[in-house]
Amino acid sequence: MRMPPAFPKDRAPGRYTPGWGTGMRQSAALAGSLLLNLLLLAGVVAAMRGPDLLAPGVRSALVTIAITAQPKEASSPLAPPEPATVRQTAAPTPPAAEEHPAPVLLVEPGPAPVLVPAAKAPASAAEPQPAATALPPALRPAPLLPAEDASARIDAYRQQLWQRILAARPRAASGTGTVTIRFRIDRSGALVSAQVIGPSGQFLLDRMALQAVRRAAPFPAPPAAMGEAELTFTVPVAFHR
Amino acid sequence: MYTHTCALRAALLVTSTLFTACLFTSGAYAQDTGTALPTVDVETSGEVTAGNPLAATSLSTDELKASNPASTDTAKVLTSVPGVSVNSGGGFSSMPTIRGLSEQRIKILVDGQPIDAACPNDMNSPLSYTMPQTLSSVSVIPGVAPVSMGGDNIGGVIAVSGPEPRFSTDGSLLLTGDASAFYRSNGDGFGGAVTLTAAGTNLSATYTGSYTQSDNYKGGNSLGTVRSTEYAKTDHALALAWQNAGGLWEIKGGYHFSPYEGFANQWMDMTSNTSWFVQGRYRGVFNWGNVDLSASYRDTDHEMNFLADKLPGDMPMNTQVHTFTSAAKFELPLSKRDTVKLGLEYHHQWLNDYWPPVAGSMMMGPNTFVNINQAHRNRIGAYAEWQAQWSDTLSSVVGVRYDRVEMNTGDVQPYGTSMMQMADAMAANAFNAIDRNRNDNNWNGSAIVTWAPADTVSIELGYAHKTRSPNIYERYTWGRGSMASRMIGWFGDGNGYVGNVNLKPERADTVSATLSVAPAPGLSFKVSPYYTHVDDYIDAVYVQDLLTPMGMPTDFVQLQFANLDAEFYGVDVSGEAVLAGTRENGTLVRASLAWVHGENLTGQLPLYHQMPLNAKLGVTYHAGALELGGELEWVDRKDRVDSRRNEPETASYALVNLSAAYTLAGWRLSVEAENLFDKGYYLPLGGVSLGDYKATGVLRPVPGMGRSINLGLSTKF
Repeated sequence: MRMPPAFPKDRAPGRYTPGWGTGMRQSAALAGSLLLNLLLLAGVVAAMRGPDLLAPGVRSALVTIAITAQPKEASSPLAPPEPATVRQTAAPTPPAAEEHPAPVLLVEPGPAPVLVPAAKAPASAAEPQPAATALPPALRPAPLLPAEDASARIDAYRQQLWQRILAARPRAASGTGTVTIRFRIDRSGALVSAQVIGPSGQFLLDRMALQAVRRAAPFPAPPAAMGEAELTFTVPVAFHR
Repeated sequence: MYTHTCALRAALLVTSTLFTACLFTSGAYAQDTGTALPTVDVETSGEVTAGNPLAATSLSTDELKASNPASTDTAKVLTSVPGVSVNSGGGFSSMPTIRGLSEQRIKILVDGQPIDAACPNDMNSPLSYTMPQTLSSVSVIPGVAPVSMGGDNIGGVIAVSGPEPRFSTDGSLLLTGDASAFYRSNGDGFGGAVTLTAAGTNLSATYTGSYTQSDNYKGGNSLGTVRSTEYAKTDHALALAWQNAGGLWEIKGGYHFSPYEGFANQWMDMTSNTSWFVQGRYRGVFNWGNVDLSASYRDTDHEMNFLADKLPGDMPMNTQVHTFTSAAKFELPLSKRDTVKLGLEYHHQWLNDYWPPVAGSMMMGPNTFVNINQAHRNRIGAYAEWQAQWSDTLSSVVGVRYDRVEMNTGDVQPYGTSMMQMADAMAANAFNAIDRNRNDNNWNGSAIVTWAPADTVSIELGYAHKTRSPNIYERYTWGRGSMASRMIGWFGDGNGYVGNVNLKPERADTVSATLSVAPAPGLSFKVSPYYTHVDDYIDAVYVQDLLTPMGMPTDFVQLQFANLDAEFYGVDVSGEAVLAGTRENGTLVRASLAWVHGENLTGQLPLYHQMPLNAKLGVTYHAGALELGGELEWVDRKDRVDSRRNEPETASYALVNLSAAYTLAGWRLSVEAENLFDKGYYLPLGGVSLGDYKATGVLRPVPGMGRSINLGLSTKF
């Protein structure tokens, strides 16, 4: 007994040889070209943004440098706030500035300068997250310190800057390496430029470190005592497991 | 295409011009080096970070290379992660199982791209295209994995990738890489791998290549040679990367060829597997967010027949698969606290599976057996995920994901329509008469909260609802003859499987928790309990006993894929303690334990291939150039077996492995004694040894490897 054949005859052998279905070919071509175009678009957009130099920063710099009148620091009659050590809980490497405990400048902006209660600064700074809460951005340079404290104030300012970058540091990353970023700010604390001067050799680490500095900006306005040349900083960002 | 080339050139020109302009203007500040600020340290592990679940485990390059100098099977390397075990296949094609779930239930990404099954026995599993020596990162994220990591899975995600592009940091030409070779006494296995990178500051090229082969290995004690365990394969890939201010552009192409790979637990062996791929990727980091665009194409030609141990006989079976994948992923930081991830993925799989007629065979002729006729499985997926870093000690990830899977396939035909082929002929007629178009709308969601109430304790809670659609073989295989159905299945049990076009997607709800404690420096402990309930779990139901052509009974049955309800629960425990010195230079003790219980709720039966309770205890000692290690591995007896599949029970066993390595002048020489006491044991997830069965007529579980002395030599430059 024979079954009736399932098919009148065997299919052409070529039917099963490797090949693209027409639908497949079309959809692949479509998707491929779509993606290629997307890539190009991304490239153009990326290039237009000209990332390494921050266009917005440059512009604001030009304006603000002109209007930042020297604060009347010499006329300040008030005593400096009580020095408070900032704890860098999240940073295993203590910053150099900590070697001589630096005062934290937490002067509230406003027409009538008030003494910040000493407890306020350490309380927030001692929290496990030294991040955004630790140091609210002072919008103006602290004008209330005697001139002899200028270098201490500059140290404190650097500390503050560093804290802000620390708070904005990238969270997840794959790979290890150290990236050195150089950045420049203007008298108002706005970022003028930021660039990778010591690459890690890994694109994502380089860019994430750069983003950390950009995210941290704008910074508090630097003390007037800081010279023009001192407004450029370098910061190494070390990624490790 | 021409216009594309022009556009590309134009874009490159624009980009490079702008980049040059940037360089030029930035020169203004080049002379002042600025005030040096202290280093900002970024801990990339061990922090409470949104998107980095505690439940995830990553193995670093060094761990991969140092711990497994003679391993050729990436999946086996993963068993160092608690909760991961492997279903044995060929010598480089084991299938990982995470917490009781395996095969396509786990999304396996190689360099970010999924690789589809291209074989009715899953012989060319995704990890078979990788060599542990050429990988640089491996991560395993169990069931509650964030939805941004991939859809169409219920059991978690395994992501492995080769080296990330490296660039020169000082403008000079960077030449770096590593090379390794090994010899394994059991089975006379040997192999080697090379990674070579040449890079400038903006352009980087990396070549990775490997070759490995082995004869049949011997089981421990008196278990003798395990037939059909030989293999050979080679993989080569070239990756080019270009970085500039606008982003990182990568293109990678590769070729894989395996001339033979025996499968102890399958009726067939792999007689050729050729695969090539090309993939492109763009990544950019901007103020408004990160972009990751990628596309890949892979073409696989897979052939099965019998290798020496299963002769005489001839039964060619060929599979062709084309895969196209593209993805656009965006990571948008909305505030210091919130990040949103959005993504769109498209995945296309085209599969042809046919068995040419065998001249002079009554059973296998006169026509081509069309197992799968130009089936396709297209998936489009979209997700949105919200990551929030509430504080340094609290983070959360919540995401939803939608995947639409569209599948269809053409008409099929049996070898012929004679009396002996009647079962297949009738099944083909029935299959061709029905509408086989299937569309699934799959929803997924996951939520993970990680909290560190103290410096020494972190807790993570996760919930996920995940959905996976059936694969092409589960839905579209149709042969009901004994032989045709025994060709289908990746279970290593010798039984026959029949597809089921009416299968529904399987939906899993998982809750899991992870408690991580580090009470003192150098001492840590992690425990992860979990529970998963799967609706419509794709298992199988009994159809009939399989008979010989003469009508005599056999040891095998025929089953059909079917939706059941299932549940899994268990716990993974791991811990380590530095006894002396430091982790890198001292004495370290590690221990882990995994227990899983899988139950078929519909049949009130144990689920097939669930790893019994197992534990590991290892000691490593590092003193400068010298490394010593010892490991004790214990696996309990497997007595919870799936009786419908005639799953064999296996006895408990304990293995001892010792290793020593010494690094001299940049060369690392290692000696390893695997299964030092030559313990004879059966693999709990090894299936039945069909290679031996065909030769001896005795059906036994697949024995594990007996004692092997491994030598490894590697260098980095």
